[in-house]
Amino acid sequence: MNELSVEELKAIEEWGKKVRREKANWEFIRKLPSRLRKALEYYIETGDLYVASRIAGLKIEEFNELRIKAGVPST
Amino acid sequence: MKLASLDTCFLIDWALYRHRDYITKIFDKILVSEHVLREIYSSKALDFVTELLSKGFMTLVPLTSQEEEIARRLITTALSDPRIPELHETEVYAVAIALTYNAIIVTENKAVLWLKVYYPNEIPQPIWRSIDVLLELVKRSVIKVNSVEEALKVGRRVLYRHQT
Amino acid sequence: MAYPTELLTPKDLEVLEEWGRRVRREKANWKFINSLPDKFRKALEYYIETGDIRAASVKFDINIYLLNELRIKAGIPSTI
Repeated sequence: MNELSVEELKAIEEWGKKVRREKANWEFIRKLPSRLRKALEYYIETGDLYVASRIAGLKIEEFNELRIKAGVPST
Repeated sequence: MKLASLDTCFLIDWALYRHRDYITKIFDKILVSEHVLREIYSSKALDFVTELLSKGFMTLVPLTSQEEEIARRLITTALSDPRIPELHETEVYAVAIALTYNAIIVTENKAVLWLKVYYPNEIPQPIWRSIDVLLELVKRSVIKVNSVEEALKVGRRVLYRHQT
Repeated sequence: MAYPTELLTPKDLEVLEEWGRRVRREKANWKFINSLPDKFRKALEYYIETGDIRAASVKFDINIYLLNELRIKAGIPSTI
């Protein structure tokens, strides 16, 4: 299996960000308390589930459920 | 690489400062523990931290047994000296992270400051308060002033009124 | 009074402690502080005396950000 190059990794990251942004249910996200909203926005930008869960003050599993409810794909 | 380890006592005021993002002109990376994130209550601090995290200026540092050991040692020292105020976990972990990663401790916490002054060997890392960050910004001409006295006045005005 | 932190000595800390307490007492809006519920009033009074916002937030079980907002509303400068 070939290793990914830096350019490929960056392209995947950009693609992931684009998909998360497009698929997210922004109406649902905007109605959330600010902490959860900010955590989801952070996740959408970075794809970093662990840090996003820390921002939200939730366990990873709990934040993941929120991610799903918000329609944000895991990419 | 110039690293900073930030704690809540610094963030609660710095996040209110109009030019709070200037801190990224001094440090290459800002390290925080989960404890700092967990405590955030104000929307301004939340905006500030999530912006720094998503831009890669800030990193969440997991605590290991090394930081736990450092924290234990510092708390023991503080407990043994009645002059030193009580050290709490958010601040002590910020110091432990700084010691592990050779970062500057950026804090306004009284206990950390007292510990540094009375036991400098326990905390060899520099400690910066908001005034030190502002003076560094003046030194780098990010904030423009005409003299050292004016620099200190700017510092006091920023710190005491949050309006500059 | 402002001080580059690396130059502070134990004697400076003593002076800063006294100066800080005096400034906090003088600048505080006591009318506002006395109008607050007991817990918040005591926390601010504790902060005025000690200059330690972390200790005040822990002792009176108030979120440190919330206490800091109250400190600002009460006109108490942040000093060490």
